[in-house]
Amino acid sequence: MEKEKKQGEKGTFSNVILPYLRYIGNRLLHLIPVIIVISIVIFTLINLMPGDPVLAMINPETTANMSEEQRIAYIETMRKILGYDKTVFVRYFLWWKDVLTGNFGYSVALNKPVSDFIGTYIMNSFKVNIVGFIIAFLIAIPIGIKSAVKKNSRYDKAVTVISMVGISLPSFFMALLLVLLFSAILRVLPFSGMSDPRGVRPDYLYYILPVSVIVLGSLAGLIRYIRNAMIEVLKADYIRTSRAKGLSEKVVIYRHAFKNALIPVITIIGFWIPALFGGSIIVEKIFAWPGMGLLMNQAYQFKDRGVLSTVLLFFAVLTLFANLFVDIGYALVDPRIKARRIK
Amino acid sequence: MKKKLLVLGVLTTMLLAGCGGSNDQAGTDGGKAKPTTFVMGTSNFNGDFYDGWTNSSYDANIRRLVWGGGLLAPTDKGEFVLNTFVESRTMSKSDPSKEVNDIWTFKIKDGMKFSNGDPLTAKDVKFTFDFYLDKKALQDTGATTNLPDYISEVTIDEKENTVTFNLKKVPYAIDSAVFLTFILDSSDIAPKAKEAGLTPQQYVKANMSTPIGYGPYKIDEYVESQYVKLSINENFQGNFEGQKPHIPTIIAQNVPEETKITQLTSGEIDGLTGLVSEDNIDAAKNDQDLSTNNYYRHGGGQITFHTDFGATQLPEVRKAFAYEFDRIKFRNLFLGKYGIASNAPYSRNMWMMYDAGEKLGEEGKFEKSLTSYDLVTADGKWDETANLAEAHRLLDQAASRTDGAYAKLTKKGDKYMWEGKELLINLAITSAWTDAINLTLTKEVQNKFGIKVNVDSMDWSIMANNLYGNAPASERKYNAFTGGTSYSLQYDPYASWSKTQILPFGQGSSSNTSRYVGDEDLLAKIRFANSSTEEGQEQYKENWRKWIVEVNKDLPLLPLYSNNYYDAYTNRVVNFETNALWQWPYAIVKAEYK
Repeated sequence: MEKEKKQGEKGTFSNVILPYLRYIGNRLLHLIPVIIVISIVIFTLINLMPGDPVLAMINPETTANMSEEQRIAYIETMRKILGYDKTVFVRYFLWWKDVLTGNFGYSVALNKPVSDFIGTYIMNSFKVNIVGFIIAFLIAIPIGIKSAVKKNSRYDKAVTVISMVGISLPSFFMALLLVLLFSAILRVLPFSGMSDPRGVRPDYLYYILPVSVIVLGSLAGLIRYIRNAMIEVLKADYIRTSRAKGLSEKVVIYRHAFKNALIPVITIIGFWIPALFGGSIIVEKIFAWPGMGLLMNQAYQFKDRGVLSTVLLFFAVLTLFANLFVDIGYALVDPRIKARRIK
Repeated sequence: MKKKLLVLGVLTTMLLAGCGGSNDQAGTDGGKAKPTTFVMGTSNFNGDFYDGWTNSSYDANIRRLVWGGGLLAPTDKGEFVLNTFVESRTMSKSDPSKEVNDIWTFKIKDGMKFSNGDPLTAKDVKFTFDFYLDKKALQDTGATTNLPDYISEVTIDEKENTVTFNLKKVPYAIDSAVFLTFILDSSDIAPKAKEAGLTPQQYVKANMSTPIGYGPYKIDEYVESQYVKLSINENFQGNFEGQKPHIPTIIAQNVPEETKITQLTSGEIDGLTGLVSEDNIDAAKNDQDLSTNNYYRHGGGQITFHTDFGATQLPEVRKAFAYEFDRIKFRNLFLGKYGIASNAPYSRNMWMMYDAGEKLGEEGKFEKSLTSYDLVTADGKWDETANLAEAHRLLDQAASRTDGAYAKLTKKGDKYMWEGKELLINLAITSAWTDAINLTLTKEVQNKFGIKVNVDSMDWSIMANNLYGNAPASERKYNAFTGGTSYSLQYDPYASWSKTQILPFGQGSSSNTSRYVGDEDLLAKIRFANSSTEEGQEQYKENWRKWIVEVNKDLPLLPLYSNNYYDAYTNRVVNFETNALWQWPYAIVKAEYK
């Protein structure tokens, strides 16, 4: 009987993976009304931008030398291409229909459908932001833990000071410092771009500076969070009990303390990742890195509504999914939450 | 710990070894061998390398490299000559009673080729003009053209390899308006469009970044938002001097504004054009490894007045405002020391500004004869007392009149009033201008001169809609607007200054942005001067000068600056002779590495 029970508890699809999938499915369903509300807000805000959207999107210099007949025909053509010949209400549903079929509207500035290029920009952003964040996280864990374990030691104080400096430095300043040092003075890394037009330098060199800025920008904050979370957990009774049981310090810290310290850290990650993408506007501009930040910057300057609405929707969805991952993360690291939510 | 440090050291060494020589690969190509690549730093391009769709000047530079011109091609002096693939041009009249030749025939040389080896013949010329004359097909793809305004028919004689244009009208600027059109490769576009079930216009739109031309270079690689790599087109027939390119590879690379000058001075890139800020120019000039060319911009920044609205209806108010505005201080704040200001819409690159023996780029006799809106002291500083006196003289003069709109301007004590309220100009600007404008038009200056200025900073598109008259008439507020302008090579003021180019405010875009009504006959005379005869050119110059005098007197716009542009490039390159009318894609043909 006991054997059967143990077999049942072993990782089978129905009792381990399926509850998670059900949970994720439920959470995804809950996201739908949120996304609808957000989309209404985005769509309304973009449509509330002052002036005739078509005229606002057309560069007046393009039509300045046209005859009256040409000008009207051109504007009407653009109105049709951009879908502004329909009512706002109809346009909202058409917009959703388009989004669901992978059509994100038309970029007036780039003169092509947004779907033709948005994927590349998203991927470029992921390449630097996610890689940068993972590296920052991997570096921050041991430093933060050590800092907490050796609380108030010289090591801890040094880490605290360096972290404070890191938090205080704006990313654009850090980017320019790194460019000055590694590109202008030492001349070992390229200034900007994603690849060498001459095909001589390996591509990875182009990633080093932007990723470094993301890493340095995230590191200080992450170390602080991990340190503080660990300090709280290390005070707990069960840690004292673990030590009293004679468990090695490594096991106590990494198996018992760190797993529990991860809960507040995971919460932070949920907010951190969308903020990271938002903050990369400046980093991507300084490194001429064609990602979502640079695209948003350009779209804002040109009042490129098609691009702007897509980028805003992307950020909204990213935030929602980051929150979803946080919830899943909670369930993975905290059995109490798992017991409550994953049934 | 030592182990960790050792691993870190090895990794760093490997990384730096990987980077090693990066500087050698950069701009200069390092070493003593003659470099084969020139990297030009540029702002981002859209990838629209065909004419007619978006109009970014960075895309236009790539087009110039790929095509270099149409049936006519520009020279380094801003003139137009037959392109080297054209054998001859003949002109005749469709009707002997006509004053100008309205039938133009071009003979294409036999054996000409596009960069991909396709033949370049009269058929391609006809295909191109039919392509751009099909307004509907073109507009369906979001493109624009003015060619239907000028051309009624294009015919060819395939055997003779000639193409004939029947022109509807022959304005002075016909060369640049019509015959600079880049010729399309019909052998490439037509069958591929048919195969894809698209119109040629749709096909070109879909393949915007891979153009086939006959100019000095051909595109080898385009990476969106990063760079365009071009190599020599072996089928290029040479520029107007018969010059063919020497530098095998050109790369136009998108560089960030924040680091571009450091990229140049460190040798990461080989050239930058159109430097305007004092810091960047000084850095380039002080670098011993760089050469520079400088010239005045063919255009500049200005304040455009709406001459049909509020107090700026009165020329005296506009001129008094000009005296109130310390343009010398503004230029120093906005640009530093590299700029000048004109007193009407002209540049020092226009031949019409000069008499025989005078040098382009310098202040000529005619320019000196115009009214200057900067009254200066003997040592060249802005003379507040003299400017104040002139401004008040003009305002007093206007306030003493009671006819028409003048009745609205009055003087109460020492204050000037417009419709019973303090005289106020609403100035719309974009954010880039904010500091320089606010530091120039201080409250103290406004109080002294008597014209209050309300400065509103806004997005460019909102300002532009107000400037062009696209905003709702009921919300109309602004009298003046900041902005920049560039003059075309063959300047036709009619297009921007005729009263026919004004629409009622709120009913569309007016290309006569100052809404100024001047001497229409004069504008028509300038427009239809015969550019192909010396007499016609003289008439053009004479009438153009009359028009400049009129605009200088009425001041529908106040020029604020014309940049002193600097093009900076590695001094290993020689014969790279850019000027205001000869942009880098043209000049690079003659350039070579030492």
